[in-house]
Amino acid sequence: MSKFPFAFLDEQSKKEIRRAVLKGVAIPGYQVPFASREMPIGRGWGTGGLQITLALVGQRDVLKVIDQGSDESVNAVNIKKLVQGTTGIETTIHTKEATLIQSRHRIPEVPLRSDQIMILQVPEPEPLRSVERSEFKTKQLHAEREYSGAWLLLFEQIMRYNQTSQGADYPVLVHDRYVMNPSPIPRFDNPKIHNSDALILFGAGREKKIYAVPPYTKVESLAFDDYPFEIEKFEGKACKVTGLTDVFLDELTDEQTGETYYLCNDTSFMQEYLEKRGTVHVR
Amino acid sequence: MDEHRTQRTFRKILEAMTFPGKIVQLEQSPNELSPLYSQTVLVCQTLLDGEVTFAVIGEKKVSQSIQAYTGSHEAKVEEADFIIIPNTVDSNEIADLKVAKKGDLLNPQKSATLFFEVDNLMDGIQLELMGPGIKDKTVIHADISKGFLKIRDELNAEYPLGIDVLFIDRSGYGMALPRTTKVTEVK
Repeated sequence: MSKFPFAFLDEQSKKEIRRAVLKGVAIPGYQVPFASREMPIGRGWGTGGLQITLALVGQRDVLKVIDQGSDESVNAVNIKKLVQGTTGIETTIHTKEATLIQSRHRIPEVPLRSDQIMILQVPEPEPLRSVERSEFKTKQLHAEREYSGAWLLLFEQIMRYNQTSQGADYPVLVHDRYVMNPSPIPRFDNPKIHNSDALILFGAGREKKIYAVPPYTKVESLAFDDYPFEIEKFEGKACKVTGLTDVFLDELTDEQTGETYYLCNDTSFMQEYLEKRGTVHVR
Repeated sequence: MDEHRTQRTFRKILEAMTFPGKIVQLEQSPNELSPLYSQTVLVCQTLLDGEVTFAVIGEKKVSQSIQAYTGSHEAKVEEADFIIIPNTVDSNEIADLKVAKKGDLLNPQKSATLFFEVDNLMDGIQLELMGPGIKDKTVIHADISKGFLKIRDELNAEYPLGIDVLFIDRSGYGMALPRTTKVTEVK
């Protein structure tokens, strides 16, 4: 792979991404435009997150990549291979060992530290897109702090279902200024963005946007006084393997018996938990 | 320019911007550009290129070299994406910063980033910092001119418009104040 520069991207591309990242940190929740590059993976497969990772990564970094809570899915493995192949850095599945964590759809269960940077892949950065198709107009709405469209979406859900039906990518208000899509993480993970110890970066490759939530920043999930924000509840349910209840669970069906069961979505967390308890993984 | 050196420098700048008030150690540039601090030169080499413009306050003679090292083009202070303030400037020249661009509501990112040289980031007036990146609040002692802090307040009055500043001191330490940081002098 020696024909590629370190971390695949040329210096000029990295500089542009780095400048966008710094602006993102300085204006929490604001979508900074950037000239998204063609990557050797398809747009929509994490190219925004990948470009941030490649612009940040250095020789001493340790990278963890997760896709929907799994370190071993095809997408996560491919991204890890590309970064490793062009940098030679170490990768890990253990959240604690990582300096950079690129993720699709989850923030790990293990609390992040201030010396770690979380990079989330974003399919749709624009929280107002479903009420306004024009980018020109949504940009104006952000400029005017005109977010009634975002509130209306939630209001309509409540009228229809008596609750907000938005599961993943539940919109948040950042630093009392910008409404932001937190990427399709479950609502369960939204509170982790508020006053996080770690910097969280968001990359949308197809939509060419980079944004950020610095540590110790106020991040509120949108809600109404009489319909407060709620995370997914797993009452009476527990992970079949670990017995854990305070984690995000996946609902699965045993194909033989037809029985419904639950598993920790964050598989490396589950593995660490089992190793610590000395339990043999049987299933 | 060694890509690893600029990568490490970018991460230090990012760390400083992420945690306003935090002191980070910057590396020296392989290139000398008197009277700028070597670390300031490396910061320029890390972030500047032909896509962006810069201005230097006071010292006009370094502009050509910055252009040569980075490929970036010189612009007027009011148009520059990056503004370099050498430690040799006097307080009258600092007033030039009043016209620094602070972006507009549609594009608050089209604002100036300042590389501001000072004597010492660990001794000087006592400032209390609050805002994103700061757990509750933090107190710093830094040799930052009050005249500049006033200009900064004016430029940052209308969030999200504003300027972001990376201070660099004689020992090569860096410390940042993004536009979100509220600064109050402790008397």
